[in-house]
Amino acid sequence: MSDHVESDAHAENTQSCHVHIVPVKVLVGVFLALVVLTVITVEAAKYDTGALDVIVSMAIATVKASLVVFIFMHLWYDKPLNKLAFFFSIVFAAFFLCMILLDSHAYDNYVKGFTEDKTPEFLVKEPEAAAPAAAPAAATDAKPAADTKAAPAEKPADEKKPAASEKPETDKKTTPETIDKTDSK
Amino acid sequence: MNTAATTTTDEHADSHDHEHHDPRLAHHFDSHQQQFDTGKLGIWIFLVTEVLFFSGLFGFYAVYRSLHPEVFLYASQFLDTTLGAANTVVLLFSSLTMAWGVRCAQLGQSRGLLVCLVTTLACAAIFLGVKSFEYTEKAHHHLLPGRAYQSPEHHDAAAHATAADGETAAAAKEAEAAEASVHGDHGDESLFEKTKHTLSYMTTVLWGVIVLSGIAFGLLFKNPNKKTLATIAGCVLVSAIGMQLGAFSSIGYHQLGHAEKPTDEEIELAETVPAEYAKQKEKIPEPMLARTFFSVYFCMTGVHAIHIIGGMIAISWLIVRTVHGAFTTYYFGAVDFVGLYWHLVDLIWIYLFPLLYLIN
Repeated sequence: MSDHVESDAHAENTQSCHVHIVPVKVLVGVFLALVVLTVITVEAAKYDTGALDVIVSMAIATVKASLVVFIFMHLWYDKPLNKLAFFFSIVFAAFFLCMILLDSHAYDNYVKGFTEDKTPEFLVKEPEAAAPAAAPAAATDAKPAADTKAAPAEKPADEKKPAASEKPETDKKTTPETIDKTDSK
Repeated sequence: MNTAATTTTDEHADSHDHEHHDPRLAHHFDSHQQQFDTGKLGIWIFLVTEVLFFSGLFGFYAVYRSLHPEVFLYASQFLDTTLGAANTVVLLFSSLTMAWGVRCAQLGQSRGLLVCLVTTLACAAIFLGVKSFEYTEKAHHHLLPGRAYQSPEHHDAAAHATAADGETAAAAKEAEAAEASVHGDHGDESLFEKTKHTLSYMTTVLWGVIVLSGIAFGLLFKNPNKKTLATIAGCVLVSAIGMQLGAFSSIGYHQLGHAEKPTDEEIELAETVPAEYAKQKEKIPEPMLARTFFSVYFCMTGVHAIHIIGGMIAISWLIVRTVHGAFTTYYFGAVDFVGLYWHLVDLIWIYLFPLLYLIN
């Protein structure tokens, strides 16, 4: 008797799968919202807002992404464990990106110093192609070499300090001198 | 704990006794609910790995853009925003039909499910078709990653270089070689013709697919048991037609742009680039670095396209199973899981589109 009831309940259990079913209206509405947001992001990119540009487009993309994740992927109605798993993947991806970006500018000054030390050919190619005469180009070539002789002498002195302050100074120094050179020629 | 273990074994024995063990329920699961929940957790874990996998590529992008923003400004003008936006909408629509298909599967509407899945497959193929047009165009303009890249205004710079003649011999030689190779086919018109010519091979493939699927459908008429083969042929046919549609609508769009406004900024390198180049000449060392943008572009969109192809294979598998009537109101896990994967691919494109195409 009790066995019978048990098997009945068992049959009902196995043959069902309770999930949240999203209505068609919601699906179509989300799709339309996504299309509108796409249009907005394309239009917004036409206005030049400088550094805000990336932030705006990423914000819109994030709104779109959360619409997809929560409605299309049912995460809003999903189990907490699945929510947690996805949430932490996003958190760790963000953490990863932040760490990379923190590190990537750490060697900027060294790179700048390196490019000032020996100007790579792709930097040389541009100004020479632009400048019709070869003589000023030779003068600018000579000038950085003189500067770089000064730069290593400076470097050991403020080794402890972050070198950010000294580089703009050398930049400022170079430009007037080169102008002087070209004027005198 | 103990009692739970005994009841499961009891039930197991019970179902074997009755001789109608549900073939859709794996032996190690108690109920369809449990099977579904387990699978869902599994697919979410897989999606987590996908997110972390792509975050590496996004890291590559973020570092490179933060170090050389001017390269992105310069190089993204070669990407056609309209095609990118159209592709975004196509992919969003495929996401809608996929979500709708999941809903149909949950409600047990197998015909609706089939329609939705085929539509999703077709949209994926259209996406790939547009992408193949973009890739082919880039290849003909030599906007390729790494060593294959040739600066679009290289011949211009080379002309200056031969006049000024202040460079190292190697650079001049390289520039001259570039000029020589570019000169013959430089006109945008001829490049477009070449692109069309390359894409015409796709039409040949389409005819091959049509013939083969015709054979498969003929076999189906002779022998109704060949359902699987015929369905696979149908999926391939839908994919081929979709790709053709995508490629040719982008060709049509390109032609329209030609006819209407001859100086269309996004497309016509010949007219616009020297002007843009002249504007940026002082600050951007593009010829060496611009190629890295195309490395980023081809790497990210390429990996995304591979995911699209994988999703298309998975959707075709779902279509075959749907034709065989595998899915019911309590067994639709596979549809849901492929749907989740498909939405993730869509999600990645949602981020890729503004990052690559919309740089101002």
